[in-house]
Amino acid sequence: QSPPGKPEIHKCRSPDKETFTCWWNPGSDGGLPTNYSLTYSKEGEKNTYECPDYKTSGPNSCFFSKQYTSIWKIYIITVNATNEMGSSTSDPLYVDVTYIVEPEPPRNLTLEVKQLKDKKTYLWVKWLPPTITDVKTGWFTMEYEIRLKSEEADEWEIHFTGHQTQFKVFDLYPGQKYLVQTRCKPDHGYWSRWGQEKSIEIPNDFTLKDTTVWIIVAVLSAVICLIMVWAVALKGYSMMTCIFPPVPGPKIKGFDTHLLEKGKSEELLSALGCQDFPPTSDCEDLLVEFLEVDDNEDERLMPSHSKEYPGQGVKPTHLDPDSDSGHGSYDSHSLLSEKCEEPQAYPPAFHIPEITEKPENPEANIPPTPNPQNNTPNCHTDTSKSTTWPLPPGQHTRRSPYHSIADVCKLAGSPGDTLDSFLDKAEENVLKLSEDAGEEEVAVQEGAKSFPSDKQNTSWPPLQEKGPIVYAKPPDYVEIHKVNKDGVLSLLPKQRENHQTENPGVPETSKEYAKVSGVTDNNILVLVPDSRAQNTALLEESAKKVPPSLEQNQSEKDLASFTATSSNCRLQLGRLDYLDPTCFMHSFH
Amino acid sequence: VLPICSVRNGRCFGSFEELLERAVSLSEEISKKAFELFTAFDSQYAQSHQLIVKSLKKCHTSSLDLPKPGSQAMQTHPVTLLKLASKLLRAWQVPLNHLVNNLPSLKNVSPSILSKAKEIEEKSNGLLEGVKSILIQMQNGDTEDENYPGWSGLASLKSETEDIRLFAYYNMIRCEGRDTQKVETALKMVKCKISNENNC
Repeated sequence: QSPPGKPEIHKCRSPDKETFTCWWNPGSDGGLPTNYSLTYSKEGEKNTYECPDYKTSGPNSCFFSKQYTSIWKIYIITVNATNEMGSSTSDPLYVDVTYIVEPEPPRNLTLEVKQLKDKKTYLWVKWLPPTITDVKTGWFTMEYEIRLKSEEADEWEIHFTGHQTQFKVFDLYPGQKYLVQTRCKPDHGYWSRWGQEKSIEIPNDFTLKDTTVWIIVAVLSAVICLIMVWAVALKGYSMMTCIFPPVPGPKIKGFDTHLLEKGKSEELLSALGCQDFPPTSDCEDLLVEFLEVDDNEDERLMPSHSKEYPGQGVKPTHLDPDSDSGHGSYDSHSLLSEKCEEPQAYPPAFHIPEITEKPENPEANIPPTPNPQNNTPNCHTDTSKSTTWPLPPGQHTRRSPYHSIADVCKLAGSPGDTLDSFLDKAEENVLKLSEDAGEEEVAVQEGAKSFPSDKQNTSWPPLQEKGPIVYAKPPDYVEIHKVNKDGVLSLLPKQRENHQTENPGVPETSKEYAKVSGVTDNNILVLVPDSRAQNTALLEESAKKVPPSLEQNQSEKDLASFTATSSNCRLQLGRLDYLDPTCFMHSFH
Repeated sequence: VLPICSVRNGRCFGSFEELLERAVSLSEEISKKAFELFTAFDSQYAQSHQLIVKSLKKCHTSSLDLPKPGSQAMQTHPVTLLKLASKLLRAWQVPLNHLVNNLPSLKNVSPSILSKAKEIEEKSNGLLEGVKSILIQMQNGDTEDENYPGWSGLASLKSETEDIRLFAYYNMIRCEGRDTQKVETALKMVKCKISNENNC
């Protein structure tokens, strides 16, 4: 047995800022029954009071009701323990009620699962302040906290909510069960204990909805993919063309392997763009044309060469082929004419010596001018000789005028023969001149001047053709002179030629014979009738030759020329031998 | 940031509700700081010097007491509560100034104690001006000269005896904390009455 131990005041708390309670821990009791008593005094007061209520708050406690509570004062509290052996007192505790407030936890906690418009779920938590506290008057100002966790979790998730009494919790897992608690604290004091625990389970309906949404999305996307694949399959070619446009081929024309294989050169050339060149057929034609042109030229050149060579080469052999090639045709006609004339003409043996004489005497060409003077007396002699046929061969050579007559017959035979006849006449004239060359030197010089022009003409075949025409004029004059002297002989060839070519009738022949008889008569009797007869004959010839359109012009020219010739003839008749050469010279000039 | 206000009688007046809300908020801050100051001072000086017994002296504002909850006094008009708050704040204007000016003379005083005391003084002066503005609006400019209890503790604050000075400081800080709570409670009760208990 001993006195009691020293008690200890545990804590003092005020739930509503109007009342408060203090608790103490008793010490040892000393083995004897012990009584405890609580005494207090207020600041500024010396009186000491005892606890007003030991029962309301339970054992070892003292409750101060509103009557005994002063909020704005400090309490000095002590506890005494007493037993039979003695007593002991605790240490004093100074209490300011405003600082020892600890409210009750919030009440009416409710949980509710809600959904926003976007189908998002959340937990709605709401509560009420503790009942004892008079918050509405402003005597209290509470702050709240909420804590949350899933059933399986170990740690709580705390959220401070301030003065509001409701809270929304998001990001919850469907199918989970959640636990929720709340607590509060006054503006100056201690946090209350956590309130009653509430639980709620988040349903899976939302998850089902979400899954349905995802399913719909998946199905739609699958359908879209299928449609795209189908479209691509249908339009694959066009798509490929769009993506990979065809590469343009080369525009430059080149060789084709097929053409090379086939071996078609024409197509190859066309492929190379050689269309400008003429086709092979055209080329062949061109070649042919060129060949033909060359052949024509050769043919033209050959006759000229042949004509030249025989003139300079072997005389007899060359002369023969020339006559055959170029003059063959003419000779044939001439032969025919000769055959026709053979009964009338002399044998061919006489013709040959004349041809041989021509090449021997190239200078013989010079004296054609003096021939007419000499020819005139020759003609006279000829006429006398013609009357006497049994003359010697020498006299035969003098019969060349008759050969000329034969030529005249040839001309009368055909127009082609006319050229040959003119040529033959020229040759014959040359022969005559050669005979007279030695007699007159002056005549030779004059003849030399005239012959160079003739040579130039001979080099050109067409000019050669013209040449006979040129010769035609001098032969006319020569014939005229012959006519002047021979009278009958000279007139006959002109008249016959004209008549036969223009009017191949018999009466012309009769006229010729009449003139001849006149000549003989004239020759014997008088020259004047010969000139008259010649003038009339020339006029007739000019009228026949001239075409009807140009008859007047040619007739005038012919008249002028005839007048001149007539004057010359008169002078010749007056002076006889001396006047004739002068007249001829004037005519030439 | 100060709200936009209207000027009347040379003063800046915001809306009534805004002013009251700001007053309540400011009083809460002051009350919190006062509690922190008391706790810091008590832990540094009171425990080692057993000053509590000696410091249980009445505060100079003990005559200004709020009515008890549930009593008929609780039905008092808000003007009464505002005037009570105004008197309390005015009664502490001079003592807080002396507290701030003389605390540095204590040995080993911590900077936090000094800064808290300074902050309490400044905010209390601001709150006093706010409460005056609210009273002017409610009374339409009719302001009475307020009678507030005086403070006579300056001699103790300047005493050459260390224990006497500590006793004086401890008692002053304790009383300041209590009075800041009274002002806060009074303003909150006014707010609940005027706003139809919406924010209570």
